[in-house]
Amino acid sequence: MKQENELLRVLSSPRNRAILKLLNEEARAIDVSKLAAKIATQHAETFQRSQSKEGIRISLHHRDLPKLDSAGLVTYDIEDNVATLDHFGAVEPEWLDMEFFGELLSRFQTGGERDIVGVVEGRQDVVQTARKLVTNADRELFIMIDDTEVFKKCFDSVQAATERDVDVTCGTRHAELRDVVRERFQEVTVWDPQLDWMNAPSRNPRIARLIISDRNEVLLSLRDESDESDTPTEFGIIGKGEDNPLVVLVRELMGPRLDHLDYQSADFRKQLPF
Amino acid sequence: MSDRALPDGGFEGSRPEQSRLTRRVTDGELTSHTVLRTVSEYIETPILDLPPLIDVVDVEFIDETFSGDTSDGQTLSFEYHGCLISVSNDRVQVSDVDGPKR
Repeated sequence: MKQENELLRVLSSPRNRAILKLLNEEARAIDVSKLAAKIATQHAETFQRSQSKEGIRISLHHRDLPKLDSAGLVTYDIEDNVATLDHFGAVEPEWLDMEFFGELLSRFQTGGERDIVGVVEGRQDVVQTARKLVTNADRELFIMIDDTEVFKKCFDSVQAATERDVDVTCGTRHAELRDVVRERFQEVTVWDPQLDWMNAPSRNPRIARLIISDRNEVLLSLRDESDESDTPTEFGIIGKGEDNPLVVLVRELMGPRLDHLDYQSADFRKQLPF
Repeated sequence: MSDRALPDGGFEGSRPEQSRLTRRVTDGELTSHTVLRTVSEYIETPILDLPPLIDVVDVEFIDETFSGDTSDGQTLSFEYHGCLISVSNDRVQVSDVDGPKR
């Protein structure tokens, strides 16, 4: 858990999240002076006493970027003073770790200021929340789902989303469901998840669904079928807002893949027979 | 102890003659930034060319402990980039690691 602890510690700081957000927007290496200028105009308050551009620049080089580098989130070149967002490769295997989520929740909930990461318990509430997220999307909707029945219950809200011109991407490991979706929603990009954690052999708990709405609202739900009882337990965590810790974390983890999908979708469209 | 405590005035000596350099923490300045400013001046190297300070010392601790408005006489000494740094509440002193020749 050492690595996760460090990751959570780093991500619980608004200052670090502001830096990661800017680096994420940049998509390539950014000079520390340019980064300082962006922070000074957009996030000066997170740097408290050193709010001048020069002060921020010094803090970035001597404190924040080396710290994010050692947490494995950023590569900072101290010679050339340029920073790049890392793609979290080292963190991914921990993604399935239940303790990780527990820790994540307790960490953010003891923050006290506000209820920034919420919990939804039980399948019914999870489904309801899922529908709400689909309904809220204005521009982009990313759905990854493991449960055919539940997804069918969301068909009407997905339909409504495509009618609002929302860019919908849908991934499922069930070939049958992929065919159904392709047939029913021609505007929806469907793909077969290549992600290890979605296809992993039945480890419990497993991720039942992940919905990202406009890249600023996230529902991630887990289902545990290892229980002796007949009904599998399901619970979800939700986060809303561009700076929400859960949203930031999921977006960072998914980021390169979301972008990859953009490339992929062009190919997909070419291959479609209509 | 300090023979070169210069509150605000410029420093005129050139590097070989210096044995130590003392600078005050200015209003609103983070003490860690005073450390860096003083080292930068002492060894004539731009601040961003110095290796990250956080690699040798807890920057947040320095900023919180030596915040200028408390004066309980604490000092902290550490080595950084070939310099000996001594931090007290309102000032930072930098000298060579071997210590100033008297």
